[in-house]
Amino acid sequence: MGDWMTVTDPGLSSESKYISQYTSETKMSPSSLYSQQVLCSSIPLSKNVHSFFSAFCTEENIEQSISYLDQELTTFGFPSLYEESKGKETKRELNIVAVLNCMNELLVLQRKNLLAQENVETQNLKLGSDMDHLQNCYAKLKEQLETSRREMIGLQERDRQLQCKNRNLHQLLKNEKDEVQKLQSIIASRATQYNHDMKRKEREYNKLKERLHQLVMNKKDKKIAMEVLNYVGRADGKRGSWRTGKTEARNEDEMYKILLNDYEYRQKQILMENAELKKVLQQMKKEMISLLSPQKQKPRERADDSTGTVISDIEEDAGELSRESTWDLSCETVREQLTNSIRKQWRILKSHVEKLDNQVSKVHLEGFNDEDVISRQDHEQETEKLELEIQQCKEMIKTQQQLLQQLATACDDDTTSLLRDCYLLEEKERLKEEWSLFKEQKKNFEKERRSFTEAAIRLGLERKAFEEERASWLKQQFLNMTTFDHQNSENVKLFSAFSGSSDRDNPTVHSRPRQKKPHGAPSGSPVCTSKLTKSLPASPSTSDFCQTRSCVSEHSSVSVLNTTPEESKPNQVGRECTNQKWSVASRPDSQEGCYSGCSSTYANSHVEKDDLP
Amino acid sequence: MNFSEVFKLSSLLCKFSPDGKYLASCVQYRLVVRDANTLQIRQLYTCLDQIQHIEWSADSLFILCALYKRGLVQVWSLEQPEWHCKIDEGSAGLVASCWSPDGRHILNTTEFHLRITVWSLCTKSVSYIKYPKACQQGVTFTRDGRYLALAERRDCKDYVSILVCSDWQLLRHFDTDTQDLAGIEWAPNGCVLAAWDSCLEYKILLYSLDGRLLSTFCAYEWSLGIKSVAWSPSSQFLAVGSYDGKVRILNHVTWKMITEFGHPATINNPKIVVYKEAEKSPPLVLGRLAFPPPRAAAGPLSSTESKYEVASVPVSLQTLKPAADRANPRIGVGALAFSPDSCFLATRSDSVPTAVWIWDIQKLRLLAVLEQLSAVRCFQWDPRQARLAICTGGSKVYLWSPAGCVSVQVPGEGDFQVLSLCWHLSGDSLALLSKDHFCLCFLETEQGVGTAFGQRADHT
Repeated sequence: MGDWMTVTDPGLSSESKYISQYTSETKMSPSSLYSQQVLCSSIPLSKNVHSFFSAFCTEENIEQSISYLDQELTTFGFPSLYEESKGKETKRELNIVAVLNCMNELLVLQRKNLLAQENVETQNLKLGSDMDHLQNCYAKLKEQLETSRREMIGLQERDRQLQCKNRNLHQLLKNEKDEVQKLQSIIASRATQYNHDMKRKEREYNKLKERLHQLVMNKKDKKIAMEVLNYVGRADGKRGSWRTGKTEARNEDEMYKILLNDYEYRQKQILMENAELKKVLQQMKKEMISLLSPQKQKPRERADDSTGTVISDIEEDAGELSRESTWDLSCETVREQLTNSIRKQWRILKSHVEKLDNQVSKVHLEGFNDEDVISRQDHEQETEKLELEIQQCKEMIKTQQQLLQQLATACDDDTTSLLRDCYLLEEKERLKEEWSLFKEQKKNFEKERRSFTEAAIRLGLERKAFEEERASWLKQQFLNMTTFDHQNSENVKLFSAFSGSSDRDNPTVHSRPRQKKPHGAPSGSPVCTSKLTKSLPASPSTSDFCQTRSCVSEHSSVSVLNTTPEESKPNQVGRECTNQKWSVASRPDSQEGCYSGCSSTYANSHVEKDDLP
Repeated sequence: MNFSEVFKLSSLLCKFSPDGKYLASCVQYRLVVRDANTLQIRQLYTCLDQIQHIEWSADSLFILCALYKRGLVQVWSLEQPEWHCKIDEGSAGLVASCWSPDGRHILNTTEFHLRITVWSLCTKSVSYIKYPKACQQGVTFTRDGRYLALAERRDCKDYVSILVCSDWQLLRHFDTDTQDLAGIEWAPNGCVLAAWDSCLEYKILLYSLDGRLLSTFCAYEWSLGIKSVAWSPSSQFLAVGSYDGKVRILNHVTWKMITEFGHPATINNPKIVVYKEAEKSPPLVLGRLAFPPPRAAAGPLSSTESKYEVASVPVSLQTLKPAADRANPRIGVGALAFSPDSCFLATRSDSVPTAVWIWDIQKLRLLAVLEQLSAVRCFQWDPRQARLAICTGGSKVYLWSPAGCVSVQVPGEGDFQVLSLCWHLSGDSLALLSKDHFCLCFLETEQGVGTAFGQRADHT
């Protein structure tokens, strides 16, 4: 491409030069101004003040220039510019007409030339573009060729690789096959070796066995014996018989009898099966005939060559059938007939079914319109029905709506709005109620708390009273004692110790009631106990835990049995609280127990409270 | 469903008499015979040593107790308790003992299978059978008790002898085309004898009573072969289970294979019912959580209840990966049993030890699969109807019937691990055997299986 360009460039430039020269020549005459300008640019030599004409032809050399032109023109084949000379001496006259003609001709020529030049130029351009196009094409093709060549090489490479792979695989396959064969031969050889070894071993084993047999059996082993109290009779009551040839024969006979029986049994079964199958076949045949017989007429009418003959066969078979059923033999000919006839009929049936199928398909294709019409009628009827139904339904709905409206109008609009609002109001109402309930509960709690504190105060008072009582009682006792024997003083000490211990117990009992209350809660309300058991792992100290646990284990059954809290309480609190005061002292507890027993919610809350510390 | 109290037992020796009236069980060296219905002790016999094998005679009059360690067999009569019989095999030793079908002869196999001694209880006569083959199942009697087939080995070849049981006369003697005969089995009709090769080769041969070879069947070569064989009670089918995990069913007319039952580990067919045993955790009742738990409730809580759930397909069963480098790999069909009406076949594939497969023989397809929580120990069909009892060594017994299946907890103190079971011949009761105890499980008398099962399901 580049080469081409370098080659063409100068040519093009030269061409343009020529063109410019041509133009300079052609546009010489008509407009002097323009031509002057052109000439000024093209021919720098003529930079004189004089015009162009003066350069070629001046005043002085008109003659010469005319003659020159004449010569030139005549050489080009134009007629001479001069008139035909009349005399040799006379100066030849310039023929104006000839000049004008010449000029005209020159102009015509010039135009022609210009046209030709234009043509040539366009052709040249065309050719140039063609050239370019062809070059492009060529380049493209070259590229394509290159790529295809590359592709081909790639493919060849792949082919080679695949072939290589194939070869490898073949090799592998061969190897595997060899391996398999080898392994098989190894297996076979191993098997034979194993068998051989086995046989050898077995022979040895047999020898050993034989030897052992001789050693063990032929020694007249005294030990080998049977002790039996008395021989029993045979199961069949018969005596054993001697072995003779007769028995052998009898055995054989019996064996064959058994075998025969078995075969007979089997044959019977097979016969039965056969008979049943035959029955089925015949029934099938009958049904086929009955199925096909109504069509007998039609094919005959149609005079179908093949079916007609077969149908006649059917009739024959139908005749045969009665005979066959009376025979009931498994004779070969009968069987053949039966199977043949069945086959024939089957063929007929098949062809018939096929025909029907064809007809059906034809009908489908042809008679689609007819069906459509019928269906349309149906459709119309159906739609009418449906429309009627819809009408009825609509009426129903209308009446219902009217009724509803009547109902609505019956009550005021206000009420309806109220009704709308009623849900909200209701909810509010409910909330209020709940709120009041809460308040009440709170109050209750408060009350209970107060009662608690009161009870505690009372307890303290009672305790004080008890203390006083005890002191007085002791005093009395002491006084009494001092009057009695001195021996009893020990007793008193013991008692005092006991009382002291009980005194010491007292606070613990008081510290515990909270935990005990739930168990004290009589009639073992299940919720309560379950709560307790649940709360147990969370209870703070292990000692408490143990106590409660023991309480549960000991009193679970009792508490269930007990019905009143007063009864259960003494059992609960202690085993040794036999004296009355104890029970008195624990009364507040029992009351609390009563509380908890009465309101389960309270008990629950209480138990949960217990968990907290 | 009721359970009897638990009685002592040793070495799983507990058998119903063939007439179904009695139940014999062994405790160490004592043989206890009970009434099968009332379970009251009828007789108590004392043997010389620990009993290792017991067998009722066919007429239910005698019981044979084998004391293999001592080489002794002791026979007891039920009618005459004072009657006794002792057979001493002396230095020859004893490895197997069985009754002949007439109940008057005892066949003792000596150690190393040197010979079989036939002792008669009627006469002093003693017969010997030489060259018995030491194999899986070398002695088999026909159902009617007329003939005995015996596998023999002489000069490194296998033979089968057919003897007449009434006088122990040889009827037929023929060699079998086997490398190493593993077992023989009469068809229930007593006319065909199936003989199969050892597991190294898949080969089964069928012989007529008169010694003719009827057919041979070989499913494949170069692989481990037959593992289990079972005749259908109608003698119509022969099911052959093999190490490739398939059961092949042969028919009795052409002795060709009818069908092949594979045991795939995944079940995709939605028609197959898969019963999956699922542990049922006891419902959380708040009262039960009382602390400490009451002692009485602690016992039953330890053994979880279980129930069957119908799993939706596809189900993948738990499979065992067999150790390839060990002998007797746990693969292949190890157990086969036809139902008494020949309609169903129950199988167990040893590579899927927790499952029992039940096949419909009429339709020749898989009907149901029972997947247990532990490996199936033993299963047995009810002798009267299509009802399968299964045990897995746990404290439950499982029953399957076409109507459904149930798992029943065996009640009682402690764990009663059911290792084996056997049906009473009426199908009304079932003896459940554990390592050292047994108990009887009484089922409702037949009033339609479906309703009975419904009730049973309620009980559980």
